[in-house]
Amino acid sequence: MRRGWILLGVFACVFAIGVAVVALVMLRRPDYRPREAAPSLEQETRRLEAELPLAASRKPYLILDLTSSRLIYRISGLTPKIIPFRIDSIRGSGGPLVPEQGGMTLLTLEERGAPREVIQPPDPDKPVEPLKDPKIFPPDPPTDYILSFDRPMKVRILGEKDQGWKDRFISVGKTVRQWLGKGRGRERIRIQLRLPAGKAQEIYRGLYRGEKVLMLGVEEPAPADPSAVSGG
Amino acid sequence: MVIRRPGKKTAGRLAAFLAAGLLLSWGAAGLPQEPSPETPPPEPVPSGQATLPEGPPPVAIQPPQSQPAPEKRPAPPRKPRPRKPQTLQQKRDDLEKRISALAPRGTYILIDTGLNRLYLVRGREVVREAVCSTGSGRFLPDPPRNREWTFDTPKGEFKIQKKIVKPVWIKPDWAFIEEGEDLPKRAADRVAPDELGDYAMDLGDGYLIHGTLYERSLGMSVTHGCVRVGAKDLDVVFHAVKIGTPVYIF
Repeated sequence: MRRGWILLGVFACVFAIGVAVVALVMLRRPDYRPREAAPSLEQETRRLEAELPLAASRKPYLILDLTSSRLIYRISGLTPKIIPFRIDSIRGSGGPLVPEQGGMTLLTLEERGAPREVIQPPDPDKPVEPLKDPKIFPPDPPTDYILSFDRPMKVRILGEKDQGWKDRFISVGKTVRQWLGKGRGRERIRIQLRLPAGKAQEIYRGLYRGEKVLMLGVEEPAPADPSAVSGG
Repeated sequence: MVIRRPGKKTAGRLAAFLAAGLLLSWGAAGLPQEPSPETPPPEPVPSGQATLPEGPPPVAIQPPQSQPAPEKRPAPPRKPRPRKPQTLQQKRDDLEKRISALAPRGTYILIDTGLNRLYLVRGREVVREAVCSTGSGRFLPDPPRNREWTFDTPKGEFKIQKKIVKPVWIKPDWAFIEEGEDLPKRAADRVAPDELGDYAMDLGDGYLIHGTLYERSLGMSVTHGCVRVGAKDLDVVFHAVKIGTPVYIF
């Protein structure tokens, strides 16, 4: 009987320590500072070679630099904006990956992860309140969304709000669901980036379908083996 | 009329002329071609020079190797001038120069749709920062007429094509459909004189940078694709730009 109580006490202690660790991780102030990256001459030349046709296209493109944790906006030889972020995780089909200097993949954005908003003409019998009129005050863009590309890669942008415990648990649940369960697709590389909620919304607003994204730090996965795909 | 047959001397000259022509065409085939503006071809790299391989990059740049001298042949009339071997550093600098050369000089406008900001830039200095409004990204279907619109601000490089004082908005069909109104039968019912503010700058395809009656919504993504700016900022920007001034929207 006494032994049972001791065991219960040990379990309670382990559980309490576990909860404390999770709480510490969740309450930790995120560090969005970019990291220093020193690409070699070959790597830089290769990057510039990939960039030249993008710059000549006269369309904006992004450099998602995982080696220095920065999202760089580029257009026609200009760098109008840089947004630093924190990398939560990079996972390949074989497990976690570490961004490596020299890895490079050119992607085309296909979806930015939220359904498009359809305008409903107002009902003449029910006038819209001015404060609720989306034409004057549009709804906020999402802070948590997943970008899909023409390659088997997905990037989740997780905007961190000053949120309560409930939101934090929901966010953790979403992450677990995405990595393990329902949200998991056939993509071979899944990346999760974290940054302040306002910055996540800013990125979302500026994205457009067909935008070129030069990802640095991850090499393009080999083409999928058609025999390995099991429908759906 | 006497027709002279080509003698031995003439035939020899003809043969020499043909040989020279062949050699000329052979020489011209070796000349570097003009780069296409769309996709510039990679720089020709002499043998022995370090190249960028498909796989992992080389650790060190190998110096050009000496090769055995070719057999002596009669020199063609015009030999293509061999290009200087380019080191990796030179190649990198050249690429950077080519990308930087695309950047504008003088005055230009930068529009950040993510932040809803417009910057008037002169050289490298931002001379005016203005809060603006850009496209909402919302979608409007018109099933009876089988049409649809997505209200995005287009991204890319544009040029100011027209400068308009006291612009008048001729309301397009979507402005009525969005409000659930019937399309007007008279053209005069589409005219909205004060809606676009005092000035407008035409970017082409119906997209404008213009003023607004609703300055409270500046800073939000609420427009149908145009860029709205407050009256004071619009005044400054309008008078600082010319027709042909580049506008970069990202």
